[in-house]
Amino acid sequence: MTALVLASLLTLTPADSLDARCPNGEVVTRAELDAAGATTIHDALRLTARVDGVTTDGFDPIPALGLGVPFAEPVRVLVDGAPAARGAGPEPLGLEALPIAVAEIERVVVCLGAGVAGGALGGPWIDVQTAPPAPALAGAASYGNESGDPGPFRYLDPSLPNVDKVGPDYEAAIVTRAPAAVGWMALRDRDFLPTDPAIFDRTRVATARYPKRNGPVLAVAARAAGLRMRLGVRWFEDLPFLPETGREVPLDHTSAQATVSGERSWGALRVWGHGHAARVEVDRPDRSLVPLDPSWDETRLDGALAARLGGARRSVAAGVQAERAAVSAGAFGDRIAVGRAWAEGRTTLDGSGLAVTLAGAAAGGGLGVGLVSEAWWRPARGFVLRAEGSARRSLAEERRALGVWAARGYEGLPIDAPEAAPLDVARLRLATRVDRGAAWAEASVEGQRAGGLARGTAGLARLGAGWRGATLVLRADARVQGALSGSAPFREAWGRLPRLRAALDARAPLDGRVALWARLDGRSGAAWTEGDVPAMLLLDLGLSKRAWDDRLRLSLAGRNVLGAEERTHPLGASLEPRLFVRAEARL
Amino acid sequence: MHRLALLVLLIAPAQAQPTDWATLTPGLGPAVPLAGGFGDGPWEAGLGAHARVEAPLYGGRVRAALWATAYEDPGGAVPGFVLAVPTLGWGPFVDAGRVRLGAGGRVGAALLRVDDDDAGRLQTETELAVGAWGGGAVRLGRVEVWAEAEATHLTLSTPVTLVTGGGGLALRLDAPRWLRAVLR
Repeated sequence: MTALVLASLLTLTPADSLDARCPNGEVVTRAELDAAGATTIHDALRLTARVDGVTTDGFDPIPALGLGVPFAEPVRVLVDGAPAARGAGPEPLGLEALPIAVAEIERVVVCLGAGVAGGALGGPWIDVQTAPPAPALAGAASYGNESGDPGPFRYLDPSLPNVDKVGPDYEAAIVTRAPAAVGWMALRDRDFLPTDPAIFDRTRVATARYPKRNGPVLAVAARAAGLRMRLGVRWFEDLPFLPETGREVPLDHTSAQATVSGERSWGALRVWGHGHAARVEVDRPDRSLVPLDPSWDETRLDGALAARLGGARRSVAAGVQAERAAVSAGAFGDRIAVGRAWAEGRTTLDGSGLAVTLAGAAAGGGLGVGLVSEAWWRPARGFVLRAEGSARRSLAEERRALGVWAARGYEGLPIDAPEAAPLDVARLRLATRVDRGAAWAEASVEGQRAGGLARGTAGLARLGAGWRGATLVLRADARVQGALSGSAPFREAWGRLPRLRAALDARAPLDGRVALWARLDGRSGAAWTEGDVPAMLLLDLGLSKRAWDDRLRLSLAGRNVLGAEERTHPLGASLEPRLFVRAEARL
Repeated sequence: MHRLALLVLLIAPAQAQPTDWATLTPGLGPAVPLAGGFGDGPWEAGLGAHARVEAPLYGGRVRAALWATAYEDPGGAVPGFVLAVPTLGWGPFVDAGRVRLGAGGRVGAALLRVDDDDAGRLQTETELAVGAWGGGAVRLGRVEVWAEAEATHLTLSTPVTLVTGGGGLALRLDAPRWLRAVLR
């Protein structure tokens, strides 16, 4: 038996849990999403201090992390610890393409890290962990509006533009339970008008209908006897911004994917793994007025198996993974196969521990290797020191960005920089965390050295602190990051992310039925070759109310209520204050 | 006299607070514009209506309200429109005998429907609305006579702040047990 999943590590001992394997990760819980009035999957990224989302219209920010050469290595997205397909080829890689309903999300783990996740070693990843959305039935509706509409003043000044509307979005789910199993089906439908004045001149002439991004996703999930199964389908009429073209391009997305994962133990031996299959089709729709064809058909297969022998104090583990992607895009057709293997040893002494992981990947005659070592020491109760070092060569075939396919002959879209070279990243990170009662503080410094695509050295430093009371939870984060030296492409890539960022987050659960939330997030400006992005100070607010013994959940959320110039891309919209309303029933 | 008023204000919050959601008080009345028209535009407001339901919650009163009024251009140069503002708000209050004084903030949407027959134009628009109110009510048994002033800010591309005064009657009802259970 034995189709299994790394995600199932979540149910294992703390030493093996996914969180423990990502000690520098950030977790967004269901309670935090509720308090913030989250209406989209990517709202979770807004609650993190380390992920920067880049968007031109606000529909689906692409997560970017300060790692190696930013933007060079796509953030891997896992669902319940197993791989999940989002976009394909020319499609942007945000989270909204995941076949997941917001009501299913139990928590989101963001990891910069170097360890094994989803069967593969290294690279940043985001794991969206799900749970049955209701005892039996669930339904939700949300609606959002951005301020700045002209209203009747358009009769006095016809040049006043309309602004974006978000939604209405709908979700529905049905859950069935047996003594040892649970299954559910969830449907989500999104609707968005990309009509901000900054992009309307591009979107209006790109499509024969009014600019719109909309469509449903359907998910079917089941869990029984340590196994997780998930089927996801998506049909989307989209109008995303494609960086390669510098404009929005209409496309139709149809995809189906299936995942089976799980784990099983026999005494001190634990085995886990996953199997994943996905078919993603991107087509040029009849409504497109853009003389470009983003058509792309991709089939992905991914299987992984791993085993751990030993207990919490000492263990060895090893795993293998194989994945294959076959692409057809017009006259272009190609396939990539990647094989991976990894081995890990872990030992824990009184108050300290050491883990070493060695991994290798092979594809197309190339070989990539990775070495990760983690050491931690608890010199006193509530005080942890941690050191991590890693060096990893990732092959172009592992990244599979559009530039990689371009290097193999794809000519469907104009690609400036075909990528065939491996990406080398070495990191050294020192961190400490102190827990004192309800309060905690943490600090870390990190140095990174990248080679291959672009060469250079970057540094990151972060301070965090928090306090958790019965009716108030406070959290503060500050970070500084950027290139210290290196080539022009390396510096340019780091320059696109805010160098400084600081956030103060306050959540007041009050009596458990009403929660108030506020987040003040300051970011320095960023520089792109197309122009600069301004510094911004964003204030987000949330009010949520549970009623009828938690069966009803109502939330009101404000984003950028101070009216700062919220913009993350030089060619993108400036997102004005927005208000979102969400009503949810879980019966 | 001032000392007496201060004493009343100090004592009032110490009175037994009503249980959350114990009562529902629906109210209705006219609302009239206290300041000008609609921003710098040519529109002038007619008589509007204000409806709301209040309930005690967290030591104050929560309020779901709807204010609606029609705006017309007396010169007829541009179309008129109907403005409806549903909001949700909360505010503290003090009780002094039969009199209750309170104030609060609210947030919601401004729904505009323009009287324009041109099918090529957007006839409806939704915008953010935030506001505040202050006023009082006199209790006469289960009936309340209320009067208030409200300010409502619409975050249009040309921001507009509207000030209205209103008054009317409200009826205090005991919330049914099942409804209290649902709302809690």
